[in-house]
Amino acid sequence: MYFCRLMSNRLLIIMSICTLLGCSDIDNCTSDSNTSFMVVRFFDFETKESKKVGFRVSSTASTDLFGLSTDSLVIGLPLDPLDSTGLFLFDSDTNDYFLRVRYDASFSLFDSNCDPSLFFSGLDTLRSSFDSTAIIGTVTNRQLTANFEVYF
Amino acid sequence: MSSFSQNEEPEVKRSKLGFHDLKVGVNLLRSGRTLLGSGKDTHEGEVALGVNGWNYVFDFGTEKNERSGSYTYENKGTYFRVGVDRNFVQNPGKGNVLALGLRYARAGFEDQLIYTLNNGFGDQEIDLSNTDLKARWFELNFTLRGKIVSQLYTGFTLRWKFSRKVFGEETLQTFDIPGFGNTKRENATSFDYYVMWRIPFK
Repeated sequence: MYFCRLMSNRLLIIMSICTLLGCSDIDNCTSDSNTSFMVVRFFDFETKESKKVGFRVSSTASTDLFGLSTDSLVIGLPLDPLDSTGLFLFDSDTNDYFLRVRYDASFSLFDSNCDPSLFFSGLDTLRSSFDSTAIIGTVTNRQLTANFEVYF
Repeated sequence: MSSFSQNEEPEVKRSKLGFHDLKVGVNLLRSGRTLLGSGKDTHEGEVALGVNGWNYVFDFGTEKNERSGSYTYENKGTYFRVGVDRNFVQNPGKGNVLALGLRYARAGFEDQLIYTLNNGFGDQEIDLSNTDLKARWFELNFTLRGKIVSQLYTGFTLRWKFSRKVFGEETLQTFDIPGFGNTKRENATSFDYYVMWRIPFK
């Protein structure tokens, strides 16, 4: 009897805790902070101020043109998950630049109800024709304002 | 009198060792989920040796998860747990258990993701796998077992799993660990329900 009474009381408490823990497992796909693109932010080389640019951006690995308006301070550029380097061409009416980067692709399942999550880590500059570049985030993540800063 | 004392002495030594029972059982929740076709194929067995108010426990299980939608993800492997429980019932020799315990657990498994992706480079077939994954974690367990009839016992174990590590991941980060659950969180909880047969030692 002692065991049964003890078991029923404890069982009630334990089941309540389990229910609470189970209910807290609520996620949706938009809360995944990984991103499948890197972010490049533009700066003036002399003043170090943010710079509005009007580049047409393309990648040698894609037929897509990653267009850019004339007043953008920043651009998100997708990376090829089946490669480990990417060459991006920045064309404007007055100047052309390029940026070659390296990276490691990773896939994960954020939630079984969401599409697989693609993100990149180990971002680094291999070559660039900009006056200067800085890596401020080596992982593609929504919480970062940029991965690369380019100065020209 | 002298010979009686000599005959009784070995019995006192056995009592000090305190082996009182061995329980062998299966996890009904895991087998039940497999039979109900939940997309998970899993079974688990448990062996528990009762010694002087302590239970030495060994679990072994298999698990296969298949998830599909816009992708196919498969994960399969085996796991084991080993550890000890402190049994707080007044007379543990009767086979009932009300215990807190610790476990060390390891899993060996593999996984595969098949997915068609367009990330600005046209449709790309992604076929990634990890063929030699290992994981380890620890558990804090709360266990209850009670007698149903004869030597048949039943009860549950509530597990809090912590300090997990996965070894052998490559481009694909694993989503499931057999015996642990999914990797969305660093820690996990689970509720397992067992039916066990008790073999008393005296």
